[in-house]
Amino acid sequence: MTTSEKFNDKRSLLYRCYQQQPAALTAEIDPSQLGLHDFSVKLRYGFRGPQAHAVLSAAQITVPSAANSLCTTPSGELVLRLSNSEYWLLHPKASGQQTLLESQSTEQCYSLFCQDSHAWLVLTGPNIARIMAKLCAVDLREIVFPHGAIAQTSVARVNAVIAHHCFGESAVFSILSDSASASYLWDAIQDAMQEFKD
Amino acid sequence: MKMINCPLNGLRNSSEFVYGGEVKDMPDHRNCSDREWAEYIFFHDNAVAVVTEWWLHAPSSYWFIGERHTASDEFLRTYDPSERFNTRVEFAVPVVESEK
Amino acid sequence: MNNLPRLKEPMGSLIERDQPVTFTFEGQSIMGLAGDSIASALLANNQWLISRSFKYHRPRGPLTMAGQDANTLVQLGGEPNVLADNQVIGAQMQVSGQNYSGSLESDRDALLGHFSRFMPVGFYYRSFFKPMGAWEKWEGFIRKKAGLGVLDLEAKPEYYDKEYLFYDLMVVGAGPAGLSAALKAADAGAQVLLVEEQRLLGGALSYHRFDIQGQQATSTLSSLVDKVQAQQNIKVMLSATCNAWFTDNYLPVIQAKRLFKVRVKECIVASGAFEQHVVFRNNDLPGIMMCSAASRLMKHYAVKPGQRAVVLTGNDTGYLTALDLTEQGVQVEAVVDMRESSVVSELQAAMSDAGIEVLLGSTVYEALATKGNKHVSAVDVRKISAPGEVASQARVIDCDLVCMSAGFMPAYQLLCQAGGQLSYSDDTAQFALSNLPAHLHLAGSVNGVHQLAQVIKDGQRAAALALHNLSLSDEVIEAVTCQSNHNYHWPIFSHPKGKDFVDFDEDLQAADIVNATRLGYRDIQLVKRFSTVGMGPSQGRHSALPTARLVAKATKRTVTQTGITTARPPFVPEKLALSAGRSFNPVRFTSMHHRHIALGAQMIAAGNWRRPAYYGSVEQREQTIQSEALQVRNKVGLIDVSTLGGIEVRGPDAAQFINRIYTFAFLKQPVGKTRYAVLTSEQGVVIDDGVACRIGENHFYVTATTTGVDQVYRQMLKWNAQWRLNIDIANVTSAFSAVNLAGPDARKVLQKLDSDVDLSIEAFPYLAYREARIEGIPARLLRVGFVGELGYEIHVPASCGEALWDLLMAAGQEFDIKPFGVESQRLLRLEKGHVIVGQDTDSMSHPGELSLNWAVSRKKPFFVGSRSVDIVMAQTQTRKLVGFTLDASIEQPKEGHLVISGGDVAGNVTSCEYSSSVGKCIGLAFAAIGDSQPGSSISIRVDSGALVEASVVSLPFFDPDNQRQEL
Repeated sequence: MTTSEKFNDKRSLLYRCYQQQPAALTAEIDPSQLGLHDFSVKLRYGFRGPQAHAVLSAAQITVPSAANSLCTTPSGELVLRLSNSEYWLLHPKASGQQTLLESQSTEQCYSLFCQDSHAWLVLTGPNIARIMAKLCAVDLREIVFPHGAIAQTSVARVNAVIAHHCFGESAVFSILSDSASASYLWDAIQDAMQEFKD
Repeated sequence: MKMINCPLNGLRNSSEFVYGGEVKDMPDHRNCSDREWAEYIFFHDNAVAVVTEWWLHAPSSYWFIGERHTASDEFLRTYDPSERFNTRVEFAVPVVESEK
Repeated sequence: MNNLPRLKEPMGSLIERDQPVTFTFEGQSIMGLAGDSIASALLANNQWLISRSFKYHRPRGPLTMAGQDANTLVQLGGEPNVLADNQVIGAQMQVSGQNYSGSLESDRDALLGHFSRFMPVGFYYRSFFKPMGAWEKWEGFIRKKAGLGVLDLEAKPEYYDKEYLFYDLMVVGAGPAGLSAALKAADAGAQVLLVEEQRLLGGALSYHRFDIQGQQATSTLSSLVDKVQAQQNIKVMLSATCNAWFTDNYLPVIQAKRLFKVRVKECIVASGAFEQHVVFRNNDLPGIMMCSAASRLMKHYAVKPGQRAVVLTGNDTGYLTALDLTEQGVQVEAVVDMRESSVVSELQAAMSDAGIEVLLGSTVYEALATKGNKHVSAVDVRKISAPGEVASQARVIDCDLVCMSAGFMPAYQLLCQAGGQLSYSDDTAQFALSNLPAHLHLAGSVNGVHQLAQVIKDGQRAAALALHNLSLSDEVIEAVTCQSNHNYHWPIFSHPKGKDFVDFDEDLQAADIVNATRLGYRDIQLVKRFSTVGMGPSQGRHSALPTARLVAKATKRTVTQTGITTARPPFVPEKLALSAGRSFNPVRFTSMHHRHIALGAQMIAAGNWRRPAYYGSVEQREQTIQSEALQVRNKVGLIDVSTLGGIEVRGPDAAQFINRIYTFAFLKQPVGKTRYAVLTSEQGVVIDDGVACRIGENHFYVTATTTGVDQVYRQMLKWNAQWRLNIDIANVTSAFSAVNLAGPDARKVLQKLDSDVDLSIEAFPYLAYREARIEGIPARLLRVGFVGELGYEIHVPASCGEALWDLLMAAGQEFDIKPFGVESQRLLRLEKGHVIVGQDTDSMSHPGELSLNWAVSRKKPFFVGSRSVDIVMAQTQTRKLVGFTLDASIEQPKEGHLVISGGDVAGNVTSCEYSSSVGKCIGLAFAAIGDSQPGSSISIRVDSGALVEASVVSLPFFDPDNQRQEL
């Protein structure tokens, strides 16, 4: 695996939206405040296959015991389990260093290309469940969708993985969705957030 | 809107699902008659009964099997296809003409 | 306008007496009070004529004061059909009546009523059905007469919204049953949504008198409301309508500009009952209303409904209303009770105490009107001699208000939508609902329970059922019985001169219904469709029962036998804006999207994707497409093909799987090579195509068409759910961005960039696959020939797509590189005779029809569709996709134009373009098999109607030996 020396400018598909909205490019976010944040350039991997569990365990990564749930590593990485044999690792603090061709598959543990196939949006603030109720038919209220829960569903008619986890003390939703639909979904969520602003 | 119980994702609105046709056993495609093959491809009983069908949970691209009553539209059971299909399917190498 | 004094408190629970609000009605300034509805404010100003009827333009005033009838539909600014008895007044509102010519007060078309015998039931349907075209000729005139308000064509879209809500239990209706049900459930721990159509809690408790003393309602109401408001587990929605019931308790609730899609585990419908009118001549005059409407006017709005009243009743309710009226200073001239006897002695005593005359076994036979039918002035009261018939002796009683109550019909609409069956007992005139789905319960008067104590208990009983299902309680409450009978069995008194309205919305009279049966429409549903009864805005709330009774009598059956028309969703008229709401139309952009925009691309939809059609102005479309195509033929062009589907198949059985899915042979495909892949359905029809790259022994990367990939991916997953091969299948479409760099100079452009791949023809020949780093970007390179030139398809991670585009455009500058769009690509591939699956194929196209026999392996044991392909290709082929050319001077055929052979349709044109490179129009078409050989000619019917002759030629049209793509 060689890392490029010349090219290191991987771009979120929301990159152009940000050029028009520089305020959204803040590095630090306040997860207790209403906000939608683009984490698409942050590092993430996906693995699937009969050996995926074994490969992750060998790397000292604890995985959730059931499908559609997640756990957090001591260093703040998120480990999502999407089926009996599919796991995604999200690194909220690291930028993408590797791309799909570089994360190696091994026999029966196949790397998925979620760094590029999926945008990663993070919805924060006190009303995240109500905002999502304007976009999504799954009940995401805390009582039925607690921390650690994952819903694979349709958000504004786009397929998405919704993961309920914490940044610090604050509950947030990570929304992983088709990267090509990212700017559409960004606008749809912003529109739904409008009534909760100011 | 009806809800369907996905074995992987739980109860969801039917709008998240795609119908995949009845679960049918494929006849021996090389030795069955044209009639048998046509029945497999085109014919449906369309009876008031419990039918076994393929359903796809689209957001997770997960296929499962559902047993549904065609009159009440009620799902009696949904389950992972591995319950029914648990062995690798092989197709015989064709017999060469001259050996016939 | 003369503003009449309001009644004293506690009347007027909805109004703010110290907050006057001024609005205009028909251009005149009206002063109401904050909280008034338009109707109550108008009545408080003695303005009873609010609108005119749909067909005969009869003057109409409030009937229910609860938004349940069409009598008070008004125009509010640009918005037609607003319910004046529901809409709260606001300052500066501009309100006018509907359905009149000239002015509301003197409508020129009110004379239409005199011609009503020439406009019998089904008039329009029968009169304009023939001759052909008659309806088109008359429609405009009739629609104008029929009215229904004025649309504001300049209206600006407003922001409507949708939201999902989730609760354990929803209670529809906040009357005594709903309140007690909600409280019982919430106290046991259920999360409850309580939905009430009116602006205040209480339902009948807020206006109805339950006892002679008039105490019960007030004390019960305040006690229940206090508890509900203190209960944290109850969410109350007022002015909210549950507009339908859908499977598994999916309930749309409309409140203001938002449509709530509510999903609950349990639902209790406590929707109450609709008071029914009595059918007699002129029963639609302003001043004639339901007993409940008069009560609502007084209790909610403190409006005195009249000075001298006659109460016409078939139950005890009328007596209680008479007491209410008397208390508020209305002179009750008489209570006319259709029943012969059966009045309890307490009520009789109360009447005599109040000095009210009671006329038993009598009815109002006709209402008399002031000039122009503007208001009721007196009633003609007669003895009932037989059901529906009266004695000849009349007694005329002067009055300006008639309150009527023939009985109550359960608000059954939601329940029938849920599959509930409404049955009617002809003996007792009572209704019952049965066959309800699980998790849906009834409570209160909709369940036939009317006495207050029983109603409250019935709410608790329904709550206990719901709690049991929610596993929150084991309590079982016995079914509640109710002794009182509210329904008079035959409150229909037809008059030889008509105007005895069954349906106010549609101006249908008793004779209209009977005539429909005489014309042969015995079935209640056919009567409804023929006569339009129950089709107006009130959806049969008042007309369904008298219609059923009339049809039953006319056809000598019982109401049980005829049945009652039901009401499909929506329960109340629903604005299209609510359904449209915030609509979601996902669009997908490639990573290079913003570069295309900057280059002036005209974008077109390809499924959800947006792709550049061509780069330039719309006016220059044709020239731009031709010049983009020539650029690729002569120099070099670049096209974004990121929307192409991409599927990864990995694992020990990868080759085996690809071999089973696609028609070609793939087991022995060498690593580093690509192979054309055709997909047939199980029926043997070509449904997709792409290129299979063998990246490794156990690793394939397959492309699929832009709009086909989702379906291909799903089919692959479904097959392997059965085959259990040891592989992983992943849809990586969005993970990759891709371009096709094509043209004689393509290699030179790529060589300008720093990469670790040998691009020489020997090292990287046509149809080869290589992996490389281009300026550090990891890339998959495919030598392809779709457009028939030296070309490289370059697939890179989507996050690098824009950078790749920039690098190639910069490197190509010295070679005059130009971007090209989908339109020129379609032309270029057509010149090469390549089919586009879905455009040049249809649902019958097997590989033989498309000359794809070469891409079908007949040696392997199986592929999806193999047996069907064998069967269809063994049959005599009747048509074939052929290439044709036409001189450019001849009218150009278009896609879909028919190919005619021997007077029959032989096929159709699937693609046709002018090609600068060929100098002719070129195209693909399905032709009869006899005309499919090169040298034949085919006849195509073009737009002008002419038949043009095209020459069938061999494919490809351009570079027949395919030398250019192999350079």
